[in-house]
Amino acid sequence: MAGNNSFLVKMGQLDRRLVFVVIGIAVFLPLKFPIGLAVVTTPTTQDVFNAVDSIPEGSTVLVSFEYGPSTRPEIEPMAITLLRQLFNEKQKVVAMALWPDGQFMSTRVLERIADKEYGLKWGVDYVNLGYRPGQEAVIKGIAKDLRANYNSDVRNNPVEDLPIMDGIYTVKDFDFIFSLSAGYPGTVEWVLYAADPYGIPMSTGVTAIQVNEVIPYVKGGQIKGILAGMSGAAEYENLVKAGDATRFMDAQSVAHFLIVLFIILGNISYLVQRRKQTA
Amino acid sequence: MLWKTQIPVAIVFAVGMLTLIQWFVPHWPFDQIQVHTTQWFDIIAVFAVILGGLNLLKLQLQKVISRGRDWPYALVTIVGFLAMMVYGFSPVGVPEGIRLGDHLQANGSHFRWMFFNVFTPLSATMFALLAFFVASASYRAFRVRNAEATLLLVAGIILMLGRVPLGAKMTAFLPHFMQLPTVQEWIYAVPNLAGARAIMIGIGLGMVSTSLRFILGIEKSFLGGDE
Repeated sequence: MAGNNSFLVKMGQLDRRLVFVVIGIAVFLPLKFPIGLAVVTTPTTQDVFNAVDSIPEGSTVLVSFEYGPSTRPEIEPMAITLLRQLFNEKQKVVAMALWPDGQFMSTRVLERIADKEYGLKWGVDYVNLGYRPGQEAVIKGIAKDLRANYNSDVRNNPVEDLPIMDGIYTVKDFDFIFSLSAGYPGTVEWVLYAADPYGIPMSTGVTAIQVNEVIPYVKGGQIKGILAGMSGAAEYENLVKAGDATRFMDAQSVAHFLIVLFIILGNISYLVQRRKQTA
Repeated sequence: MLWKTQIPVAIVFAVGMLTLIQWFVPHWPFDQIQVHTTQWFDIIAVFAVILGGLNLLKLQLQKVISRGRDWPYALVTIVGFLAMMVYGFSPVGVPEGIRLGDHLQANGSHFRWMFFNVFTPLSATMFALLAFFVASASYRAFRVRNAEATLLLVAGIILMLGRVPLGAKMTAFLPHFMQLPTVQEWIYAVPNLAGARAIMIGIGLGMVSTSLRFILGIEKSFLGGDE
């Protein structure tokens, strides 16, 4: 019995390097050898799909990129799937960024999807306006006068020469806003300064850690659905076209399961130790 | 006193009041305030970026010169900073036929290469390390010490498993309302939402009172010193 107890206590005191190795293997193996676990769509993801699906054909959608390389694995699959859904429905896409590295993220995704996969025309079917410093002041600025803040796109074409921008003078002229956000400024600022004051329908895709902050706006009806982290991206892919996030979910499943297992082991050890101390 | 206190306080009062008024009086000339002030803000933000860059360079240079703690890292920061400055602002590494400025996003430019092949993997690596630290920290620190900690632990476990396909598979045999994805959705939508809204309302009220304190000159900490 004493031997069992000391084994249980030791299970709660594993070297953290061992924990690192186990997590590393748990992430690597499912990426290399996918298990193919079925992804179940949650209502909030379905709401995003339905909201984007209900935009009338030929509408102009503002897609804002507020993420960088560190959160790319979580958000980029959402961006790719969103563009596919929008272009399938013949929508026009105007991209912009509130984060400096967001401009690089949007360039990369638009090159891959709009240019290579769909063969669409810059300035007619889609355009990238790029980054402007000022955080939420940029949103407030384009709410009043877009062309005062953006007089050219990232390729230095004057905005007034772009056919896609015909009739777009303020944020109110967009039919839909989609924020791909990993923090501040991001989804919350779009709700506060554009979508809610001017009644523009809006949806979002965020990192898992941000869901807590954004969910009140979703449940309040100010945002139509939410893609919540990697799992939200995988669920969204499941509704449009399978991609990276679906593949990554196997690794995340196993890693989460192992972390829970470690927590349980740690607690068994803790309870055994506490009982020994009080005995 | 006049220049250091009264004039800055008067400026804050005037700008704060004008910004407030334009929300409630959406007519000329007040409707123009937002258009112009946001552009001023953008311009000031650009200069702030320059100041921030120079400040970074100054601090790192001081560390290298004085051989301070971890100075080799400061040297790496300076080299990286200068390299990106050179590739960003000079014709070095700009592909033929591409204008300076447009090259930042252009295929074949050194700036773009550095961004996608140096900054991106480094940044992703730093973030990926979190998975290991979260695993290790939760193993060592997540303990059922009392009722509140136990509640947090159980909610955490349900969320961790309920958000992934494995959690759905593990509880697929249970009635729908007991399956992990359903329970985690309920946690998000009910207790979590209530807490988040309470915090947001608290923050909102705090922001209103703090803003009023600044506008009315009661709060003067932005002046620096002992004011």
